[in-house]
Amino acid sequence: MEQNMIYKKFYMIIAIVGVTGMVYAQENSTSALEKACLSCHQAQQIPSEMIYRRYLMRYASKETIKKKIAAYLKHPSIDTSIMPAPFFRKFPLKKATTLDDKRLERLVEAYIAHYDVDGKIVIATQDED
Amino acid sequence: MYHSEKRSLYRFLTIYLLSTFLLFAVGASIFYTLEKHHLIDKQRRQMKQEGEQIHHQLITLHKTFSETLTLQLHAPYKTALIDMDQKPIASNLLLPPSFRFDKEYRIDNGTLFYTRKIEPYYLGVVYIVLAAPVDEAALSKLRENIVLFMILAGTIFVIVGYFLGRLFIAPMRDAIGMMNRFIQDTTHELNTPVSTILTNLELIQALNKCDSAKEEMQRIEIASKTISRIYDDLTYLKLNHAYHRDIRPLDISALLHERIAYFSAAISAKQLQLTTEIADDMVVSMDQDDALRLIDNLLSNAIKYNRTGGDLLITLSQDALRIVDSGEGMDEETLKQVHRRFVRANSSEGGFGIGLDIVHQVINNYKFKITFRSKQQEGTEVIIIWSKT
Repeated sequence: MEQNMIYKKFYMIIAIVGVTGMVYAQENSTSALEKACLSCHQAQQIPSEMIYRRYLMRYASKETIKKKIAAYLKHPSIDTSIMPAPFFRKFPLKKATTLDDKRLERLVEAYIAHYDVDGKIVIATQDED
Repeated sequence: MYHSEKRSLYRFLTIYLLSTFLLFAVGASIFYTLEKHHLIDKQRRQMKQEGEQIHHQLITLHKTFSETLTLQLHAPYKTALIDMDQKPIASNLLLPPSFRFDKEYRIDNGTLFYTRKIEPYYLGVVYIVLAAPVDEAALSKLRENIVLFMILAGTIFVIVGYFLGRLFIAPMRDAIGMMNRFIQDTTHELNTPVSTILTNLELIQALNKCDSAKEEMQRIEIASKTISRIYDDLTYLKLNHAYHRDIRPLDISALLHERIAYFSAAISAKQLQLTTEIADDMVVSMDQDDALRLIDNLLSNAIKYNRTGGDLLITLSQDALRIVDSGEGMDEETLKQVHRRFVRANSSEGGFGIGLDIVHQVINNYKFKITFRSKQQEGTEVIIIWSKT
């Protein structure tokens, strides 16, 4: 009996630690994104969500989008950007990122997860007239 | 309606209705296939419209930046929005495994799928997949209508066929009618003189008035009885279609003895060696006239087609009546046809070829069984097995 109780407690601790870890990781990646990207974007009023929609409309593949965003951040230019040239009259080209590849990848993933439409689309069925 | 007339009518109706049914079945099947395609095409068009509406909604939603993006869908449609990696972005539909997005329409397990590729990829959607169950209600209504039509057309064709058939067999009916009238008139005219001859013959034999011409008298007796039997056969055939049978237990043993005595003159004229093994008090439930025609025809054939000085064996048991002659016999081909009316096994002897036709009619009426065994130049054996009802 006592041994069972010990096992139960052990599993509960593992579960709590796991869930907490996941929430923390999520919050951590969101806050990292906030800190590294969005704070500046918001300050400069860069339409991040609209930019992501443009990526979606052109590539329609998260893997491709990830690659394209990373490529742009490493070598920002009008050619590698998803935005049209007039956009840069208002929002000047940013400098190339100094982040290492791993961090950059994590941040790009966080950016995609933040603005993605996957969980936002709700299919509502109407009855036939 | 005569038996042969009925048979011809049934045959005509069978061929006519079968061929009509086949024709209609083929027509109905083509019609069903075309209508089914038409119904599915209609559904496809409706699906295409729904797909277009979703496309328009995606354009609008692409410019909407709210927390939820609501996509309106009409029942009974279900949809899946698929990205470039063929992963669902949003879906309320379970796609079958190995679903191909390059095919615009496909039917899988009674579900119609429509795939629409859109470009540019609003909200990252490359394919809009729509699914709806194939309109089974409309198809079942269509099947119902076709069956109803077939029943209605079938009824009309049965009625038309019946009248057409009667029209076609009218010449045959007239011919049979004429023949029957002729037989009726002939038998009517024959009845009185034959009865007169037989009565007077019996009177002469009873009074022993003709001892000097006994042989000639016997010949007259045989000839008269033959005419009398033909008269009975013809009357039986004529009345058969409207004949009321008085079926009751009949002493076949006594009747057989009586008929052997009746044919005794013919048997002795042909110098036949008669052997009888007749069980006593053998009773069969049947009409007396039927039994008479059955026994008379079998005995008459066994005597007529026997060779002079031959053997004649008559056996009656609880199970069967067996008559064996030592005549010319028949080949297998003749044996197959011998029961048909106006077919004669041997044209050298007199007769109309109606004897075995009558025998078969009686056999069929009482569900008896008849077996013929014959060997050419050796003789024929006929066995009637009484049914055990």
